Amino acid sequence: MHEFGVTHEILNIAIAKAKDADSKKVLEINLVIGDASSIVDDCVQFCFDFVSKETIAEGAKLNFHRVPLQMKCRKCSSMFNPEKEPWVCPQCREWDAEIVGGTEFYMESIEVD
Amino acid sequence: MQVTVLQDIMSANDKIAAKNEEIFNRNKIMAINVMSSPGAGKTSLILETIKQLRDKVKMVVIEADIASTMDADRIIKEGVPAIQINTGGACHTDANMLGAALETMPLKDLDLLFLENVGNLVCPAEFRIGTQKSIMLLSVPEGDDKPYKYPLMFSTVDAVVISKMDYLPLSDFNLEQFEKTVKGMNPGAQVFRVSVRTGEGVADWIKWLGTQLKEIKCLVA
Repeated sequence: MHEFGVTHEILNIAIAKAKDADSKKVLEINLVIGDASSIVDDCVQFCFDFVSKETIAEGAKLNFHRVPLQMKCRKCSSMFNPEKEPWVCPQCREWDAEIVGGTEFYMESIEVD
Repeated sequence: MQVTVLQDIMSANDKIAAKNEEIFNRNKIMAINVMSSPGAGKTSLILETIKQLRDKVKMVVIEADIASTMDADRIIKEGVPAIQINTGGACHTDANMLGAALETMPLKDLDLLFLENVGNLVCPAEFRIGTQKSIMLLSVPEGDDKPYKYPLMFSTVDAVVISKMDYLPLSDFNLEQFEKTVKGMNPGAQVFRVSVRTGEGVADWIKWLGTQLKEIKCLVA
């Protein structure tokens, strides 16, 4: 259960950026999360509704843009989206790949009033 | 109105992690984040390491658990200082918890610090805490399929210790397949086959630790 700490951080960043832009209300927060992350969207929104009470971000809607896991084969360099056999290259069938996308977790933008 | 942010959610944590790492490097301390499922043998491996190295290496252990001081008590009994962090329900240690623990302990003359993370193969892999190295244990009874289920953990550590090797004859754990899987995900990872009960592989693990310690001592601060 680490959504609580993470959600606090989301709130801190959103409030700081809204204040930088001289706005009084955060309406929406756009987040980008890779599929390799263990963050659960609903859980974050639930925590957010709780921790944002009586702040300028109270009631803000969190939008989650999910980034699929992306792998790169170290043998033939082809990129693939893992499905059934996550680490097997569909081109050369080698078991030698690295995660090159899908671990990100950042705030892209906020919608403010 | 839309305001562009482009800020990593973990940036506050990562900043503290960088500060922790700077403290370790400045004091020439090798800090190792030890991760595994609950019951894979993290404390037993640390206790065995203490037995092997206590005359030569000055160690300290930070024990992170959701509750209790049992693990820290076991370490202290062996004559090594230990600090217990109770994460209060959190499933992992973050950089701030480690940073706060570092403030409470004398770091001078220390060589080796173990941070025994909360037993969990998921979240601890996602939080940088500032140790220069991270390792994980996977015990034979847990099964050889775990890299497929917890890829992030297996692909980010510097070493994988296969623990409880003495259970191998009772198990259908496929050692070759497991090591091939780990190497495919993480070619740089060292893999050790260890049983602290029989002593198998302990020397290899201690040798690896020695290499890490040498590296940090040669580091120009």
